[in-house]
Amino acid sequence: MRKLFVLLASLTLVLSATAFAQSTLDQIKSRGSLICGVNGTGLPGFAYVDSDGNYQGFDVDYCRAVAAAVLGDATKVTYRGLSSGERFTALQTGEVDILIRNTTWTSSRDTGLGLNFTAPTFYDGQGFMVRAASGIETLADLDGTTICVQSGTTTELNLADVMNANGLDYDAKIAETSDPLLAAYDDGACDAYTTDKSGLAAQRTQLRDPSEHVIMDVTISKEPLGPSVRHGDDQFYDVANWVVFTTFMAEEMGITSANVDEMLVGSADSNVRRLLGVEPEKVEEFGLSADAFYNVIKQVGNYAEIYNRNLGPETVVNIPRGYNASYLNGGLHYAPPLR
Amino acid sequence: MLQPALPPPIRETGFAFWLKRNLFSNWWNSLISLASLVIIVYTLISLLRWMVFEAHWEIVWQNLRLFATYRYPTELLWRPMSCVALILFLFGLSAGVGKGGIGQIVFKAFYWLMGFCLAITLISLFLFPSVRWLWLIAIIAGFAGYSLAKFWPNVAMYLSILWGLSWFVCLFLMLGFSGESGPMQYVSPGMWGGIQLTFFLSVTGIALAFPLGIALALGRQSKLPAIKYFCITYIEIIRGAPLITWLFTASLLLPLFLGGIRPEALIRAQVAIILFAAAYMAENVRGGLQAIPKGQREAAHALGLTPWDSMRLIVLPQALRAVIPAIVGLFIGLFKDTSLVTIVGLHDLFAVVLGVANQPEAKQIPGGIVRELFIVMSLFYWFFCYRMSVASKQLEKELGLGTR
Amino acid sequence: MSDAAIKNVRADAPVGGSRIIEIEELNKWYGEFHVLRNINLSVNKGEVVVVIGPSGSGKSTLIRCINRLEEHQKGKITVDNIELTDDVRNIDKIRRETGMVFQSFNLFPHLSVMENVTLAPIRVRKMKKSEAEQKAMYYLEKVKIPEQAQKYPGQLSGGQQQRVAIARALTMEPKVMLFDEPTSALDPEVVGEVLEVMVNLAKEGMTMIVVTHEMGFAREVGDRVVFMDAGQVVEVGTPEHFFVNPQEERTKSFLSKIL
Repeated sequence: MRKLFVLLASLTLVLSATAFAQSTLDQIKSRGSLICGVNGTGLPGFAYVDSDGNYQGFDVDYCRAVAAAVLGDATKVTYRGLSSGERFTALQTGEVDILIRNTTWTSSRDTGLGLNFTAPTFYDGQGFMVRAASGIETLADLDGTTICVQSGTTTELNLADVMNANGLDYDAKIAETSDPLLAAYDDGACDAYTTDKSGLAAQRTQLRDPSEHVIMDVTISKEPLGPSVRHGDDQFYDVANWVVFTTFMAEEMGITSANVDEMLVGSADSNVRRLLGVEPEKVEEFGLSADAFYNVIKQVGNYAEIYNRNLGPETVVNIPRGYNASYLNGGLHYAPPLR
Repeated sequence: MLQPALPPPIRETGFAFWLKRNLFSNWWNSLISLASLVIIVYTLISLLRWMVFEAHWEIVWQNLRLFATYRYPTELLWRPMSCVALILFLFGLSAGVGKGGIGQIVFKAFYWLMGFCLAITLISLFLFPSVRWLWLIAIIAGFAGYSLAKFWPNVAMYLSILWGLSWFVCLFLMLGFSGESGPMQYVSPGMWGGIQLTFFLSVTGIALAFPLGIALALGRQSKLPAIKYFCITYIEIIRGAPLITWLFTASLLLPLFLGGIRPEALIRAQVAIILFAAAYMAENVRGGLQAIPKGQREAAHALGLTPWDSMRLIVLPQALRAVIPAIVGLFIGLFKDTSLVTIVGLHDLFAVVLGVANQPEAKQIPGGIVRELFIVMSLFYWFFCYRMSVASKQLEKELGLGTR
Repeated sequence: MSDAAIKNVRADAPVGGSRIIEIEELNKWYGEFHVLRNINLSVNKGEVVVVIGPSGSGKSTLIRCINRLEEHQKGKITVDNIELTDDVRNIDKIRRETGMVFQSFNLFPHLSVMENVTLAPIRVRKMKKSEAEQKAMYYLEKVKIPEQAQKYPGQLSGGQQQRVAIARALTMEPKVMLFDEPTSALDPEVVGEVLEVMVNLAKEGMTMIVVTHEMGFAREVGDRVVFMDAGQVVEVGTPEHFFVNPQEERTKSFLSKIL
């Protein structure tokens, strides 16, 4: 099934390559709204529909950030909930302008599917959850244990690869979906539960006593998640990429949605002045209005604000920042200079 | 001499006898019965305990609006609710004018539908101020339709036209037409969802598949080989793959064939559902056509009726009557199968339920709230499917005893 | 007895009458099977022709050819000076002028008696509904069941249904009536009521071709009796001729079985 999707998606790419005459940026401007592909059935913290019918989440905030930059209004987003099967086709055929749907950046998606990924907004990776009392701390401690893992996913393959490579023995307990698997782990059927770390954090709260469980400090795969756009429209790719960098830079420079207006008038730092459009040339070179990146920060916030609002310690999901800290704090998020 | 009529021989009856004969006829049967009883009672008690003390129904309540209409703007909810009122009104009219056995069946369906809506109305009166008056109006519209039909039975003549028109009216109401604000602003089908979408997809699917299915069934019997083999090929290819395949085809491949034109996701899925249902409809109708004796057509020809008239006035009406139960069955299947549109990114009731299970609030609850959500969703599907299947059984009986 | 021994005779109507049906050299095959062989038959206005013969002799096929329920391959059929060809307009004209009554009634079960009877006048003769209903009542009275007009066929007995079928054909006011074993599917006790209607119809001067084994009917109103066997007309004569003095061996053996 997975292969079929990839095949169909590749076919779509070939046939639809010539279909777009107008640039994506112009299309969005003339339409007056950004069509953003997000997770249709929800991923806690990243994208979901709240009980009032509004989309919320980390990915959703990046949709709003791009809309704020291009249209000056973060609310001008038309969300298109996508299943994992149709997400690439939807982007290729132009049904969505940008895909922000917890999608991992891989080489084959870059080349074969004709996607352009911006800088990752979230560095995820497969990890393990175990009982705090079990004393399991390193990968080697997992030798001879039973591990709960979702079947038919890269998660299952990653687990097998890393365990074999380290000569470790284990029993896999598998299920198609996460909820019954988690329940089995909670009932003590497995010693460890493995999935992406973002998922581990979100699902730990569903356990009977979350405090009894810890997420191990082991990461066995790279899962850089980020927005992607179509090949062949470099202008819009640049915009999307630099919207992401804007959130990084704002955090680096200490600009938040609360103090951005002060910075706008009061800052003498030319880096800040360029970013906020006080010196307009650099922002206008993107084909955007001078206040585009100002609007991103004002209406959506810097990276830390976005992260804390959706994934931070105050939220249900509560994922430690880890790799997702700014480089200034030892993380991986690092913006090139705007000049 | 005439024999006196005798009473039938006395049989042992009553609950105790039934128990003895069926459950406790010997020692191992008694053992199995007792063991089963223990299991059943234990399961029921655990289920009840869970439902009363442990389940988190509040999240279901909080999200009822998503189940009903998903992201349809709150201030515009009067538009889909007007559709509900219109449909209840027409249902009331139909129930009011119905005569004979079929009238009884329509009345019962109306009765149960009103019961369901009344329950929702009571819930809204207490919990959902935004729609409480709308539901009250919808209920009143239902009663009004029923009463009107009693005063003005001639409305029966216009019913089919009214039902046909109501589809367009509802589509218009739900879509709107102009601009970004105002009472009739455009609401993209991407914002539709939940029960609203489930009903829209299945009703539209069956309604449009009906004429298409008849055309295919007639085409399959055509003397022109081109038409005949086109219809056979179509029917057999469509029936040769599950609905999910055609949904994917419509969703992923259709935009390719249309060369850059991308119809709304809803339209793509709807087209797939219609084309799929039409193939099954065609086979049902064909069965009906074949059940009509040859003499009927001969009698029509002998009277000088044209082939078209004899098909339209003699053969089709009888054939379609005969397949009404099969069509109801097809509709029940379609009603449930619409949940497959989840995988092409539409948000019918099933997709909404999955989404609600992924709200962060739900993740705070041990074990999540999938069980609660699925119980509610199952009850919804069960209620409608069961009522439809009862109606279908009654129809079958009614038509079997009918005028033939 | 081999087929070659069967005579094939002409069944011409008496000279002097005005011909309404003429069948010349009629041949028909079902696949390889030669079901009608060189039939020559004509009927005058007002004549009542009774066709008898063993089952499979082609008598039903013969009258079904007259209104094109069956297609013939060779020969010529003319009804009221209209030749029956592949031309749809001719077929329609002939069907309008010939009423047919079937063995199995073939009433339309989803329509009331009144709707059964008025359907063709309204659709084919483009009569107004009120006019058609008036006419229908006239003929329902004639077949003695006006009180059943609002019922459905399923609520009537076989005899009543067949009388409705006769009324249905008559309401089109045809010039010829074809009866295809009209009493064979009926319970013996109701055969009489249908025959009575047919006798009255014959006495009023209706041109009729009747496939039947009811020799009593033939004797009472039949002008000519045609005996068919193996797809051929074997013997023709008045009813008396058949009762008193049948000529052919085939005829004699058939009559001895049904009388």
